[in-house]
Amino acid sequence: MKPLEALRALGSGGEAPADAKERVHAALMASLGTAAAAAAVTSAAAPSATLAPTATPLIAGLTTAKALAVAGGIWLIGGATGAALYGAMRTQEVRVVYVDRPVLSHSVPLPPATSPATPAPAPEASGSGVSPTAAKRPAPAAVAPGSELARERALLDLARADAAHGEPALVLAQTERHRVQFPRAKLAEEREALAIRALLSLGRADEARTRAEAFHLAYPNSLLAPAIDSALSAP
Amino acid sequence: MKAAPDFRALFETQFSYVWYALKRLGVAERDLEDVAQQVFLQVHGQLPKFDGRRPLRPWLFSFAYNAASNYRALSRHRVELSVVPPEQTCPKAAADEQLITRQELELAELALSRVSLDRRAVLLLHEVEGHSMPEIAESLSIPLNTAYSRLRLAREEYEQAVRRLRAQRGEE
Repeated sequence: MKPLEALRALGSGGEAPADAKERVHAALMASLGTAAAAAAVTSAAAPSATLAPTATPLIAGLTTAKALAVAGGIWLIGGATGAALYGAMRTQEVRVVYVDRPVLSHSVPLPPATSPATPAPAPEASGSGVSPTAAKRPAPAAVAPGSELARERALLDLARADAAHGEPALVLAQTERHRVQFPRAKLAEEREALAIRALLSLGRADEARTRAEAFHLAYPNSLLAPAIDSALSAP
Repeated sequence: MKAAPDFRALFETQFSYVWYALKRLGVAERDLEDVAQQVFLQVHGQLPKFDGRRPLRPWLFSFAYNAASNYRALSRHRVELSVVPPEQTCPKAAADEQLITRQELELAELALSRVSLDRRAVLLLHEVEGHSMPEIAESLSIPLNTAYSRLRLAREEYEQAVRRLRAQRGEE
């Protein structure tokens, strides 16, 4: 038969995987702020953790990226300092501190989230008995590529890249994905901080306040709290 | 102007279409969820402007095409050749078994993945989905002549790819 005949017989592709559809739907509804968001996310039962969170920021609106990157950078410096101090203050409890890295630029390739060939350059305290202080940060290799923590971090890196590029809707989508994919996330505190700021950027101040209240209850001593409060009180 | 479709209904009915369009446009399996999500975010934003009299799928395809183009622009994705598993994208294979063998459909899918992206988009919309060339030109925001030119070149690329693949398999 002629090659083009087989092409015409292909059809549009059939049904997409139901679980993928459900996850996309949950993240989408959450980021769009619909009433169904909470229910959709809650009902997304134990999503597969095998999916590599390698979202790719696609929006090309880079005209304001420079200014946003500067603003983001300032916040990130604060975040890094705060994370280190927070870790030092809470030595009795083994926890993970997310130390911010330079924001990924859309103009350079994003590292594959789980690629062993590209270990994350940022130091990060792990739950392996290392005190999460700035002075005793483990080497970058401390977070095994492909580990759940590495995947958590990769997803939040993408969210931060979106934040720096002025895409709060995408930030929110990534943070919702994080919430769905990692019900026992080690980086939940950082995720919530990102999500609250994204909600504010989207003009959803009421939701941001509600979530900030929950944040303060969950993390009463968080050094990310002042940054959140400051953002909430900004005009 | 006819009302735009409801977003929820659109997501429900068109998710699979977008999913496989992205797949055929070279988005790797592991990134499909993220890219599909971003496509629907953009679709949501533009939906109020959609003229319901227009065919929906070429319009949706344009979002998938733009997303796939941006995706490929990142060099980390260029090195990967997305080869679509034929068993997941040839639903008609069983039904058409007597007319077209599964092997031929697999070959078609593989050859399609070898066509350059701009041309593949036109080829998919016209040959696979059967849309008219003016519809395609409008959806992809390209002049009609350009659309025809891409279609001609796409067919050539596709047929060359089929010939090469057949030769590799020792056919013909």
